[in-house]
Amino acid sequence: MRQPYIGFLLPAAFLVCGLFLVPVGQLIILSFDGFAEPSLRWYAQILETGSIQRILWTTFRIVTITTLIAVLLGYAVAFAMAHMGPRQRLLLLLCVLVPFWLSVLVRALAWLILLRNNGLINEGLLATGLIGAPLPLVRNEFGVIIGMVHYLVPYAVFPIFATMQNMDGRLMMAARSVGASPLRTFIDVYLPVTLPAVFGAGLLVFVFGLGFFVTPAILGGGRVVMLSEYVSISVLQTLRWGLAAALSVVLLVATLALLWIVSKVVGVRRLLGNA
Amino acid sequence: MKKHSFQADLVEIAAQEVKAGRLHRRDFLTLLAAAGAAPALGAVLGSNPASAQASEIVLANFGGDAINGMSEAWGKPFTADTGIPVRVDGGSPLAGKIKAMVESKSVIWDVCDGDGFLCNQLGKQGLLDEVDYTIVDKSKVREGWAWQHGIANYTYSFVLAYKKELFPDKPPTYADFFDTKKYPGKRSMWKYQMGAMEACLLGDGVARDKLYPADLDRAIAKAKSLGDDVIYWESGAESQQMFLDGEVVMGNIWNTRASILERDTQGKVTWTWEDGLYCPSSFVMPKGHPAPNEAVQKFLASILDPERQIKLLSILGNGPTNPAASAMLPPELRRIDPGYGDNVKAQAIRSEEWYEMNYDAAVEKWIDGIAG
Repeated sequence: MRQPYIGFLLPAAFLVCGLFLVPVGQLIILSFDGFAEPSLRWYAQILETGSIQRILWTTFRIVTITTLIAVLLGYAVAFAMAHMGPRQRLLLLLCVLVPFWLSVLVRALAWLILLRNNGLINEGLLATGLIGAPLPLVRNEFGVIIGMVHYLVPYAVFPIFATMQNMDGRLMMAARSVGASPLRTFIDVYLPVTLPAVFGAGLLVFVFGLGFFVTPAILGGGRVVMLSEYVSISVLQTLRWGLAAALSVVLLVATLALLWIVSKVVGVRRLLGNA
Repeated sequence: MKKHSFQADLVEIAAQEVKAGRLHRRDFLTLLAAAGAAPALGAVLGSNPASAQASEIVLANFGGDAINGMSEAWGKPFTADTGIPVRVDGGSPLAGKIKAMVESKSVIWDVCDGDGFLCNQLGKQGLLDEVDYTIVDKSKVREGWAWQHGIANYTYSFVLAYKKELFPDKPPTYADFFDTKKYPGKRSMWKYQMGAMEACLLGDGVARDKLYPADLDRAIAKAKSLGDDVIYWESGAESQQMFLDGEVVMGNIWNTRASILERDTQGKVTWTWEDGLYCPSSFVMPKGHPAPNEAVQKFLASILDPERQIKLLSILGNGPTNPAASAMLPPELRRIDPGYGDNVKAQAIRSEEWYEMNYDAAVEKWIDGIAG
């Protein structure tokens, strides 16, 4: 064998098979009610039950909005980071990293303290007389989106920043030298070069967002139920494991489909950062 | 989040009590250490852990304060009587976990804490062992609470807690709870249907003894009528915090949290037993549990002892299931026992039959109904 190091991959490969592929396989089998009497009843239930479809719709809607905002913000932050001096860059990097290291629970609770009716923001606005009654900033979908965007922005920043930093600056100089305006240069040169990273970041954020649990539970005030919470209830409380498994499979297939579509648009190699 | 139940909440309360210095840290730590090292402790106490006789009984509950409380009130005296150590494992024995253990034949719990209706619900699925009523005395629990596959171990209630200043003369009713014009401010209810549904029906004019079979659609419509004035709590701690932060003026919460709130706010927040929902918790034995059956049955019999039940009430605030225990209560505990005399007369009693048949569908329908 020409690749002597391939043996080093074996332990990891075993781990992935044992701890990931096998359980996922079992999950898929469970969603069809096992081998003995395979059935599609859980999938039929997903198609027939309005409430499950509403939860799926809520989940996809929130995650899509979150992804758009997070990628937009992430792009701006990454752009600033890539083009500022090394000292400021370090400072900004810390600003992104420190919240990134905080637990999801702490972040959700912090937002709750800021945004609730008697929280800092509403009290502050009330004190200045700008508003007459507290704004409904949290315990609703709006609050969930704020919390999720905050959590997910770093995941958008890093891949985009990596691409921007590795970009050949001479490309832009070349564009400028043939008379393109800064805006033109950005649109025709900078953006297309960074676009695969944007898609990659978007995909990462979207997939992460689909599995969100704690943030919607805390910031949604009980009235924003996302898929992972429903799966958890089905497993632990209502004992509908087949349904939980079928929903997980739907989620998995949706994620894979998304990956496939995005890779068709920008190419797998570029998507995975090999631009 | 692990906590989807009242039982889970107990553990949390206990831990805080220790922090606040109201429960002796040393005792708590000793107990925790003992819980983690039960076989060693057994040797110290003189029983031989290597013998075929039950080396220990593993009691699973929802952790926190209840680890200490159940060790103290139920584990210690049982060990003193029989020499069999009782190890309390706060591993949250939700129905899904019990099912997973039994079906994979890797049961590590002998006795599990859970809601009363689970006895029949899981029992009928073949996941539980039966209670041996030649060893366990049926007459020591309230009528109807000795099931084939489990027995009521303690009680708790969903009660209406409120800001005292809003109701200086008389406590609010659930009609007031839903009257946001007259009493502005946010309310809170449990996110997972139980208690909240009953509050909605009572607020909509259903009589206490006509709650079941429950009209879930009517309850959901009533819940939605609160619009943005309702915040659903997820954990007991959250329900308490909402009052402390002044986010809500009224709430349908667990009695254990309500009594702590009253203490911590010097009575600014209090609660009424009127129209509360009185519920039995229970112990069940997962099929294939490790300890010998007889020892576990004896343990179930032992927890019905009135003094041990009163001890649990004094530590955790959970009521006795043995009516004799309620009758023996010292005056300072009468106020906090959901099953005591006038307290229980003022409340509705949860229908275990209805929940046994409808819990799964009700939770799902409720979650869907209140979302969005």
